[in-house]
Amino acid sequence: MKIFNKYTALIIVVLSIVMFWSLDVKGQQKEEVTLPLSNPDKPGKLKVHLINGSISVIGYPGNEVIVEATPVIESHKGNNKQTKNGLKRIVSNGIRFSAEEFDNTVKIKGADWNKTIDFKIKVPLKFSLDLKTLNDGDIYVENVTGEFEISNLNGAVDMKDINGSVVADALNEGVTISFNKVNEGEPMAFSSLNGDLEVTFPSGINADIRAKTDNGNLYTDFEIDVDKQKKQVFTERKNGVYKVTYDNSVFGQINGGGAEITFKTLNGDILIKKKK
Amino acid sequence: MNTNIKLSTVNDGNIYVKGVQCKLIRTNNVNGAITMEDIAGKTLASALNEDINISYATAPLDDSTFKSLNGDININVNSDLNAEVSFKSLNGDFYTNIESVQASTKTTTKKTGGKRGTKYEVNAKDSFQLGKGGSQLSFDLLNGDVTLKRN
Repeated sequence: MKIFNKYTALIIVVLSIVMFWSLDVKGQQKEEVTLPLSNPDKPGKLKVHLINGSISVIGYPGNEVIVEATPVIESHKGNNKQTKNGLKRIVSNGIRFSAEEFDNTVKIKGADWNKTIDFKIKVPLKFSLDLKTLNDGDIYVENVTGEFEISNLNGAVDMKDINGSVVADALNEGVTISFNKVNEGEPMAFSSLNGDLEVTFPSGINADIRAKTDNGNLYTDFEIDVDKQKKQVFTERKNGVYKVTYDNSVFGQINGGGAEITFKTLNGDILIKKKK
Repeated sequence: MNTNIKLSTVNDGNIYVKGVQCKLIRTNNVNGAITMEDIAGKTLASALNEDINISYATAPLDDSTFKSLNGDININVNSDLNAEVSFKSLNGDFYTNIESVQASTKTTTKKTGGKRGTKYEVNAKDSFQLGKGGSQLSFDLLNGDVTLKRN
C-alpha cells in the first residue's frame, strides 16, 4: 500500500510537470520585456499608444516596468479566406512592438497597425500614465499614484484604487473610476459620447462640479450645492451674425468648492459617487 | 549546374524561364510578371507590381528569396519540401497544401542603449517549418498572397 502511494505521488508529480510544460508551450507566444528606470527613486511616466488592443496597468512595489505582450488571434477578423484554390491558410501570430525608456519615461508602441496586441504592464506605484487605444480593447488601471491621461475610442476605461488626477475619455463605452485620493486643486475631466461616467471620489473632496449630459441623467450621493443662477452664455460674432449659446451644464460645489471637475456625455448617465 | 543567370527588366515585358538548372537564378522585374517553369537552383526573384509563378523540377535546396509588392507569389514543387519559411505580408496570407506545417514564430528582442536611454524591440517574423525544415525560403510581400503547392 505504501509503495502504491509512492507511485501515485510520482505519477501525479510527472503528470503535473507534463501539464505545466504543455501549458508553457501553448503560451509561448507571450513576450515579456523588463525595463529598468534611469532614476528608480523618482516617479516615472508610461506612454502607450495603440491602435488595436487592450492595455492593463497595475502598480506593484518594485522599480522596474514589466511589459507583457500577447498577440490576439484574429481568426474571426477580416475577410481573409481560410482556403484558396484548395490550399489551406497558415496563420501564425508574430508579435512586433518596441519599448523604450529614457529619463524615467517609458514608451511602448506596436509596430503593426493591423495586428492586435494586448499589453499587461506592471509599473512602480508612483507612475503617471498616458494610455490610448482605438479598437478591440479596454483600458484598465489599478493601484497607481500619478497623473493620468486615458483615452479609448471603442472600448471602456476602468480605473481602480487611483491616487492623483485623471483626464479620461471613452467615446463609445463607459468610464468607471474609483479614487483613493485626489490631487487637490488639480482640475479633472471625464467624457464620453455613448457611455456612462461613473466616478467615485473620497468623501472629503473639495470641487466645483460641471456636468452635462444631453440624453442621460445625473446621479450623486454627495451634497452638491447646485448653482442655479450660473448659466454659461457664450456669445459669438462672426461674419455679421451674432450668436448666443446657452450651455445646459449643471454647476455645483462639493464641500465648499475647489478645482473644477468636468463631466460630459451625450447619451449616458453621470454618476458621482462617494467612496464608502 | 554551375551557371548563374541574371535577368532584369523594368517596363513593358515579362520574364520567362523554362527548363533551366543552375546554381543561382536572379530575376528582377518592376512592371511585369516573372514566370519560371521546371527550374532548379537557388532563386532570388523580385517582381514589384506583378505575380511571380515558379514551378520547380526539384525543390530549392539553397536559401531563396521571393519579393513582390503588389503581386502574388505562386510556387509549385514536385517533391517533398523540407524548408524553413519566413513570411511577411501586410495584407496577404500564406496558403499551402503541404500537410506537415509547424508554426515556429521566431522572436528576437533587440536591446539598444545610448544617449536616448534603453530601447527594446521585440520583432517576430511569421515563420513555418515545412517537413523536416532545411533551407530558408523567405517571402516578402505587401499586398499579395503566397501559395506553396505540392503537386
